[in-house]
Amino acid sequence: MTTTLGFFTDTTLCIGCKACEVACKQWNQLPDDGFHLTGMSYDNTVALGASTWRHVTFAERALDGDPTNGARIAWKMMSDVCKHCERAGCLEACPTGAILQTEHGSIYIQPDVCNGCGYCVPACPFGVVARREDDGRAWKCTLCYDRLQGQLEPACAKACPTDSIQFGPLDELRARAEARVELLRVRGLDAHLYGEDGEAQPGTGGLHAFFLLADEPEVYNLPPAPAVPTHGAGRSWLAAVAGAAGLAALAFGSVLLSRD
Amino acid sequence: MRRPTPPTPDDGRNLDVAVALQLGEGAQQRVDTPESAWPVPPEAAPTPGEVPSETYYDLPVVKAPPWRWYIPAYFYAGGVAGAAATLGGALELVATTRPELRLAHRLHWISMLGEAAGAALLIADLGRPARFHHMLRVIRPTSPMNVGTWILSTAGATSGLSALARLRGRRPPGLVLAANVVAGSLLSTYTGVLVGNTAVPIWKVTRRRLPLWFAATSAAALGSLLQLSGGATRATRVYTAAAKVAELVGAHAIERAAREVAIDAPLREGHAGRLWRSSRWLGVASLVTTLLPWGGRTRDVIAGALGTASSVLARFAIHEAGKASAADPRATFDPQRRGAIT
Amino acid sequence: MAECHPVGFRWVMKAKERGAILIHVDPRYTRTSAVADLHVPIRAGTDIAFLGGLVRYVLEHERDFREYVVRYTNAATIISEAFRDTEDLDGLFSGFADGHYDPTSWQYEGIPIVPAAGHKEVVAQLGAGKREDHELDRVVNEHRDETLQHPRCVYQILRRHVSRYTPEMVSRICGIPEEQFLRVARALCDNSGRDRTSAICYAVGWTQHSVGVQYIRTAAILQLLLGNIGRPGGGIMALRGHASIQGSTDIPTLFDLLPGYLPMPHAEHSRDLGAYLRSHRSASGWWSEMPKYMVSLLKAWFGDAATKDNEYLFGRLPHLTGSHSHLQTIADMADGKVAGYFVIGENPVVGTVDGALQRKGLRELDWLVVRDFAPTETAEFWRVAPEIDRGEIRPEDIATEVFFFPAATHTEKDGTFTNTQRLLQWHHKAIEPPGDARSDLWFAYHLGRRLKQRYAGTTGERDLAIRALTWDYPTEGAHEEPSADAVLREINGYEVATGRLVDGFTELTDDGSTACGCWIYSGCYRKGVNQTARRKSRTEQSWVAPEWGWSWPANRRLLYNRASAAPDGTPWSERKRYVWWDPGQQRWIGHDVPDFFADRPPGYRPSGDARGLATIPGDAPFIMQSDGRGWLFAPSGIVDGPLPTHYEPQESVIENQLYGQQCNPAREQWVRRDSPYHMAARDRRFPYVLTTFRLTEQHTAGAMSRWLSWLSELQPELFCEVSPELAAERGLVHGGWATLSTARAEIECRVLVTRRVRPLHLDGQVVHQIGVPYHWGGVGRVRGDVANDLFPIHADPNVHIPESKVCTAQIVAGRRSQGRTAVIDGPTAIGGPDPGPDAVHRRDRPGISADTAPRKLEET
Repeated sequence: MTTTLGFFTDTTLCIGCKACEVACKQWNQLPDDGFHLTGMSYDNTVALGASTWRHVTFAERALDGDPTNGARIAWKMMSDVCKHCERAGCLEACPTGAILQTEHGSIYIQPDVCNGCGYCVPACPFGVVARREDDGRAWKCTLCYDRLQGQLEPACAKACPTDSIQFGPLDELRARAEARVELLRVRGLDAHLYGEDGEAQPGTGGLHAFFLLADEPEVYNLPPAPAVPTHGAGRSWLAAVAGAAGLAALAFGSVLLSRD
Repeated sequence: MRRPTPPTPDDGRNLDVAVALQLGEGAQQRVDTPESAWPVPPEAAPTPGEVPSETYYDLPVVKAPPWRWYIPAYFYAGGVAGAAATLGGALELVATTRPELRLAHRLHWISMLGEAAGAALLIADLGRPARFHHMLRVIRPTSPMNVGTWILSTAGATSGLSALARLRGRRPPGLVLAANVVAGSLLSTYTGVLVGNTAVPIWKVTRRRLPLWFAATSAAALGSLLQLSGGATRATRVYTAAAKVAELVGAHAIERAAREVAIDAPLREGHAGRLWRSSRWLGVASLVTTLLPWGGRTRDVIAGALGTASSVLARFAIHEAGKASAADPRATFDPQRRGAIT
Repeated sequence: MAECHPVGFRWVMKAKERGAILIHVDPRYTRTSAVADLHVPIRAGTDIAFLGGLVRYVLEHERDFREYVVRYTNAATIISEAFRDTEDLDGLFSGFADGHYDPTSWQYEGIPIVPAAGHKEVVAQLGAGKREDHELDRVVNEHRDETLQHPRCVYQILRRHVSRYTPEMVSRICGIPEEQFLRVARALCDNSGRDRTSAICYAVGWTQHSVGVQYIRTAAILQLLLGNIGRPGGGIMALRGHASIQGSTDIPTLFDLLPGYLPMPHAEHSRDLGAYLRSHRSASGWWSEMPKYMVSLLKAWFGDAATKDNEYLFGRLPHLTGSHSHLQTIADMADGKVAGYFVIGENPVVGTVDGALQRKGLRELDWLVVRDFAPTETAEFWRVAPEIDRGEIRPEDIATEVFFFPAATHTEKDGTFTNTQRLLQWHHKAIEPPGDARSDLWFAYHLGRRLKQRYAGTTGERDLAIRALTWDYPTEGAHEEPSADAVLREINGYEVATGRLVDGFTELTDDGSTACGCWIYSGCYRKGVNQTARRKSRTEQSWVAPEWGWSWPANRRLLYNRASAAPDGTPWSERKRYVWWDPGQQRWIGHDVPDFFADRPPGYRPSGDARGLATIPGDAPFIMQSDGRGWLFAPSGIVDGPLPTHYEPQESVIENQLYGQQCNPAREQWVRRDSPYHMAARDRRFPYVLTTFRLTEQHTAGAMSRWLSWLSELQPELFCEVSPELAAERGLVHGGWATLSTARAEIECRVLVTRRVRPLHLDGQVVHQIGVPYHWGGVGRVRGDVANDLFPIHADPNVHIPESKVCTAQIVAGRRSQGRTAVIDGPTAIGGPDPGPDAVHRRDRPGISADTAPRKLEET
């Protein structure tokens, strides 16, 4: 496998312009999802889905007292995307092998293989992938696999005007992210990384699209301690075998014990 | 090079037919109405302008599986089929009397019917049913659905082979029978792993009890079916009674596991709660009726009907509970905050 | 800026990362505020008070950059004895009569008229330029006091003028808490001076006011006092409204300008070329070269037919007879005086104020031509309009003939964009326009060609202009697309005899030997290279990046950059080194093209008989002005006062706290029954301040964004933003509907209740502000009511920009009723007979009762 590539999304640089959403839709030629004003601040996209692969969240956090910047709120914005987990729940759950890990370490769904069983959908601890009912198949961010073949960076990273979305080799991004967090802490901002490696997020093995957050993960609709479902699947299988054994025991037992 | 997909009008892409090549990754998505991908009901009232400090506008974090009624129906059909294969196989292996053998054969028919119906239901639920055979492209132990497909295929294949043998008047080979028993028994329990191997909070937290509960409820479902169809023997009566007790114990265990992390609301409230509670009461009624010392055939039919209803509702209940649990962001956030779910 | 110029904002974020402090002043907390260090909520329409307060702070605490102020501004200049300030005349300057100012009393002592650069007094027809008897041939020798103590020196006049703009007053007028105001003042002062500079960026939140130009003037005064003009990281950046609108004013679409900001001749005052040039050129400074620019322009347009004898056909140019501004034209259209109208790449019934009046005007036209990507609301005014929805107007009764020409997009044609920082960038055609779509260049060229054909055989004098027009641009392709490249060469300018492209405007002559389409763009094709198409990466050149595109004038990236060096030519500091005098080479050198005469030493002083460019000393950076100094006090060129003064907007909720003069006395108004003003402060009928804003996801009037699904889904519906306090007061439900109404119109929109909007506490009353984005209209994938319909038609008198950023409004929960009538001929709020308590109003305005009579009406 060649170098692992990924995203580092620094939410302290995000200005909520949604260029990432539009660039993604335009490059991938995704359809719109309908026109509804949600009232959820400026988030009319709501969630990632089969035809939304970048989603900017907007959280107006009330500030009380006399905040230093003179405002009554802090507006936290983040461009959400498929996390391309090191240990991907969707990949492990896919029964057809449609979901694979590419040479760049990204997680990719092959649309010509997917038969729409929908099992990847609940397997994602972040609720990223979705099945489109019109089409039947599951879809999600491809990390612009086609652009990577042409040595181009993904459309969202290219379009992001403030470089909130940074793309590159994962270890480089991690180093950059660590320096950035340190810098922000010195400035007095309570920032932290999310999913930067397997140590920080053992449940997923680390994310290839990780984040720098300025608030609790829940504020951005991110789970605080996500884990790939197969984490702990062993005991479940054991229970299945035990249950099967129990069924057999019940069967044999009923028959044998009923004999005179 | 991929051939461009011809653009359709009003597909939400606004591409000019004259100059646009639809070669994007999402260009292949078939779009009947763009609206259909909208993630929440449009009439959902917006929450006040501020984000509640605990969640993101009460929006779901994880997604429920997009399964339709076919899947809970499959849980029933497949569960019954598996239990029937197990009991039938056990009977056949140790059969000494003709009635036992006849019962075994009947069970094998139930098993085959259940497997066929199950397969049909699974295929019907697929987004691309014509590609059902893609399930067998790989053997992926991490995917309970893949393992389950192999289990179902094995169970079906061995059932078919056994049926062929019997049609020719011969006893199926022991290996085939044994394989059928193993596959069948796993057929009834792997669904618990399938359901538990997701990010849906209530399923994830009960993942060690679900397979056991599935086993018990499959046996109970089979027992109820036998009660309805008649021809009960002592063995089946013992089997049925024990299974129904096990089912109630299992259901209780599931509730407790969910309650321990305070995410058991779907089993108590709402549509899923109603289904679950109905299922449990029907199950109790069925058990009580089963244990009545008198009543004969009438008692059996009533008990069987109550039990079947209970078993069917139980599948739909656990499915609905999963949907409700996935839709509740607190069910994902709170246990993780407390370190309760790993 | 993050909302409206997200890509430009990239550089603000980079500056922030390097330690810059970001202060955001806006009625609402926006996406810019989210990343700013400080958000200052302000009442819309009161920025002069705020900036004036900052000016006062700088002066009172002596935080001004003294050496810069004394040497580079006219702070030391003494003003005429006849001058009276607003402090003397309760809100008026001396010289006000009949709604206009005579600036005679504003002049420098001892000098009758001081011409301003590029002045264009059309409507007011006052100020330098009107009188033909001023002495033009003298060097401006103003009287000065460099100790800044003389009571009539500009410094002292300014001090007195802003003396009452205390922090407490700023709080009372603007609603900005004193502590916050002081934080801004301290931050600005701490970050200005030799080692640090501060920049002010503004957009239409400042310009779209009846005192818009004075807003900018206040900012200019502030930046001059702090020594920020002409220095890296300083200055004032005007963020224009959309792509290439800067180019649109450079090569103009403004009625009172010729290319390069040459004034349009006036029928009465510029009867011939001589009179025109005498009116407008100045004796000293760069503007003394103006005749060269004008003659070269005429040569470019009329070619060989333009000779010295016929004054280069100057007389055949259209001359102004008054104001032909957009707003005046609308008023004339509504009165049936206009026959035809071209609307190219604009959507005025959505993008400009008082849509009802605009649509009325369109209904009176004989013909209308609209060029755009899709039929806009302007093109569809005859079938999609609130009046038609309500049944008041029927399409079949409209006699206007409407022509719609589909337009090519920027990828379908060659040409340049000129950005807000005066940067020209060439864009290449990538694809043929589809179907009948054509570029604007194609349209203009072929229209002109056909007109020339039609006029070919005529002999009349008045047709000479069309016959004489040089129109020989080469065309290419099946569509006969004229060469944009050829046009750019003509804009650059060339020697008539040889066709050699000139290197810059310094090579232009006034004897007809050169032609130039726009003098400020001259040099964009120097050496035969399309400078605007250069794309050298910033990683391969200096941080100023002079080889990316081309900036006017002469590829200078920072105007007045002589001011980045001290009077002796050395940089003010190492840190802010930009352009400096190199004694060895005897030249000005630096990171940028020096905005000064390359070989004029800092010590140069003009002799008594110096003329024109020679009159500029070696230490006068503001070379466009006749005295070479930055004008804190503007003796001419601005029609509503030499100093900025806080006036309330036309429609305000509160009285002017400073003066009896409520509003800008010189503002432009159109007092019409079909477009009333609401001029009653503290009136319960319209008690809230309404302002408009933009969203990143949509663009201007929506023609470019509301047809695109990917943008429309991001912001699908018109909404207003209100504070939770206002929502509680008016029973507004978040996500529900509200009806916004003003004296002119009514719209419905969804409601977003948000803490980003906050109530302001001024002078004992709580003032609520409502913000509404103006992007929606009746056509497109997503549609909504037109927000600008609510705003009144009145304007800044200098540049005729409407006050579309503030008016008074009412808000009521629920959707608007379908049957309400528009203001067709209802009573106006000023003047007009009192209809009495039982009168049935044609316009059913909410909350009207007999006891809410206006308490304070405009006097003048």
